[in-house]
Amino acid sequence: MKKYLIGLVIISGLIFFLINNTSYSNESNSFTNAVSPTPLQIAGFALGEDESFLAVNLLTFKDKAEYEDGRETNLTGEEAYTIYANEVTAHLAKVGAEPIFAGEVQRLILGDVEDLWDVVAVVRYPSRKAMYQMATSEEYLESEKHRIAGLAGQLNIEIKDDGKFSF
Amino acid sequence: MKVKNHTRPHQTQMEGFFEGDTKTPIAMLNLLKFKKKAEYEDGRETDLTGKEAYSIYGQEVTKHLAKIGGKLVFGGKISRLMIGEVEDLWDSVAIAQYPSRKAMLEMLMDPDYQKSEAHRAAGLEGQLNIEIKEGDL
Repeated sequence: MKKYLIGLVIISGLIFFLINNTSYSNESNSFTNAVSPTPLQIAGFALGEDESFLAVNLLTFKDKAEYEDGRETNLTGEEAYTIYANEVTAHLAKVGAEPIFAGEVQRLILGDVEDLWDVVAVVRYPSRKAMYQMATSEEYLESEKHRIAGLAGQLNIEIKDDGKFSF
Repeated sequence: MKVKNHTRPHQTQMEGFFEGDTKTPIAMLNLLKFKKKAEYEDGRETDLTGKEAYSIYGQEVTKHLAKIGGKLVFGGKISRLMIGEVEDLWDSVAIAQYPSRKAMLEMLMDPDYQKSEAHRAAGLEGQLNIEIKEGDL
């Protein structure tokens, strides 16, 4: 009985501690770029509504390209990624998707970012099914080798495509 | 990696804005975080959420943009992060195009714009605003 009560007190203390130390704060925030989605992100994507959406890609390139198959290369990370970007327009068109914006990051006007991204690229997909079809096709996977070779990491933010302008 | 939202530029950002080529087209990527409840700087009573107040600014700003030859590319609510991790994910993303930084500055100094800006300040918790040079990779 005593052990049970002690356990209960410890757990209550822990819960109290957690509630008071994970409160929302805008004082500091952090982010981590990645090359691939996590299993949880893949699951979330699969379970979402199947309607059109925008993908906002914030990209950081490697200094030197590094291919997974170990091939020799003098390309920079950006050059390797650019091969992928050029090839991907055809893959996108095949599933009815299209690039709607791309550009090189110049500077931060508001806010602080420890390591500012290199490029921003935005794509509209007609549906998740379309994105999935593209991402699993042979030709796309061939092009993707250049993406992996050049990309240090990125954020990929999914936006609702309600109309030209809404929040 | 650390990231911090702000509502106003700091000194070096303001100075940087005036440097270099102020005459070529630019685009601004906004990653926005709204307040839960709107809070107007002039203390007016309101039941609006932060997002609702900011949306008033959003609707009005299309006019101000058009006046200087700019426009919105898109604006939308963030559904999820597909790749990467962000500790405190933003609420919305918007991209605006300007014919130049000079034009953007004109807009910011217009008294009509500044009236609309009250809704922005009321609704916005903080943001990142990233200047982009549009063009193919």
